[in-house]
Amino acid sequence: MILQILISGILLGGVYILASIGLTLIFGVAKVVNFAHGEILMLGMYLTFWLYSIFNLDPTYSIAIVIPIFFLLGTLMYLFVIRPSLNAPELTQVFATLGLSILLQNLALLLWGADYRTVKTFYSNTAVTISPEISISVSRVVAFVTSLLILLVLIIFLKKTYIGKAIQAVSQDRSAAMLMGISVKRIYMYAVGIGCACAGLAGALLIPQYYAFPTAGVSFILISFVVVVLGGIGSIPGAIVGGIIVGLLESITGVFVPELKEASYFIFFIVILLIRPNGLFGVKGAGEEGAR
Amino acid sequence: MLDIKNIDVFYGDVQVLFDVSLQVRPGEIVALVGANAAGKSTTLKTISGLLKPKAGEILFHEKNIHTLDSDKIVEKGIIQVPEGRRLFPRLSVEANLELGSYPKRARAKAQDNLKNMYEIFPQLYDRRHQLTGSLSGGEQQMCAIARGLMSMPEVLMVDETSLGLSPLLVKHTIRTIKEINELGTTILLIDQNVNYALRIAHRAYVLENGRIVMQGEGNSLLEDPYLRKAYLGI
Repeated sequence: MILQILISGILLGGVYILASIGLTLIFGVAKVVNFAHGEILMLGMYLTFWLYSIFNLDPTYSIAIVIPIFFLLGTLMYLFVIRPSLNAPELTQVFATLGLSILLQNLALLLWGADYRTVKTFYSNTAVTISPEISISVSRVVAFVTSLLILLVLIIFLKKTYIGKAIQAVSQDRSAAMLMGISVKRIYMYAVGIGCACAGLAGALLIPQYYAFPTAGVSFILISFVVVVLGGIGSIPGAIVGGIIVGLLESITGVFVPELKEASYFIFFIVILLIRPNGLFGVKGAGEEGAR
Repeated sequence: MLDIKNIDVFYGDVQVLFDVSLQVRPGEIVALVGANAAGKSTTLKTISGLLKPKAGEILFHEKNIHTLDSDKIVEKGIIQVPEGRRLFPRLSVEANLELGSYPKRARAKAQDNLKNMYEIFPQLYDRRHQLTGSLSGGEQQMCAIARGLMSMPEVLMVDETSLGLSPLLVKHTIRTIKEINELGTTILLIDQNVNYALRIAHRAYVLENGRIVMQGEGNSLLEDPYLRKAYLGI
């Protein structure tokens, strides 16, 4: 029983990591909170749903289409929503992405209605039974493993490529990065593009287990905020640990005190903020523009 | 080669540079000296494109650069080693050096240059996998200079070469800068330590309250009674 709870918690956490990592990346690099992140995830769900219902494409394969489309969507979002508000007061930045979030919700409502839609893959209802007490849903394992693989690719990209290192450099010291010849605005664009691709991917991986509807993103962005602030805003290892913690908390309380399922991680979140205001892996001052 | 002509620079409404002109010729070491808040760092920031002059112009090889973004200026061959080193603290020494070769002009030769840097600064090779936040002040200064050189600059600008270093390390840094210059890189350096700066500079400019008040050869400025009184306390 305990093992079963732990396993489903970790499996859930894997997808939460992917949903949150884009948020932390965008914040870490461009110091902009993307309130439309949940809606990007919702659009990822819809795209995967339509690819499935029109072309009968399995959600796992559809990621090959989701990645480029959502990267492009992210760069457009940077160019038309974020860049014009970069030098504006913070409140304006909040309203820019918050406004986009509301726009996208209503656009989805207009285009696809308020129906709940989901994808039933051939393995949706299959579960692997390991012992009499433990059985694991195949679609959750698929989502978890795919998330981890994508995460691994992302980390290797950040560590090994010039653009990846430049992304880290900009998040650590923006003006020093400028002095090293890094075009900071282009790096912002890449970061927002990658962040949105991660959110779209998370949507694609979540659709076999969750329903797509116009406000589907709202609950995920709340979870993502908890994950990101818990781990330390702007920190990728923080998002990984935060994602697993929130997944575990949700699955533990879901069994023992189901009525407190969502309250539980907010309570934990408040406690962590009281003890460590910068989050578990947070760097002091990470929220300040350009750090120094 | 680098020609700053009558620039006025403001922070918001406050003017910090008044009609500043200076020239750097190929192969020179030029020092820009002056007290704290005289406008030395502002001058370098303006050359690097972080600040834009309200009046005047900056020419590099007879072409305007003061309208370009900072990354384009680096691409032309002018790099700054900023005050306080400004290394990326949560990246390794090697990753910091590799980021120095981010400009396209230097990427192809990044591996060769990395090897050269480790030859010039062997202690950086020993610490190449360490995060730069854990280095000593002297090592950080070496790392910052090496990172600047990785971009294969024509002009290396060093802001506050000696700040926060022990006298021994200052001597070492100054010697390194001289060696780099002898290998063919033109240098524009800033230092509060007027004595050190004037000793290695071919030519120097003295900045006071945002205005160039003196200029001349390094050695002859060291003999100047006004300068000795004002900056060396002799």
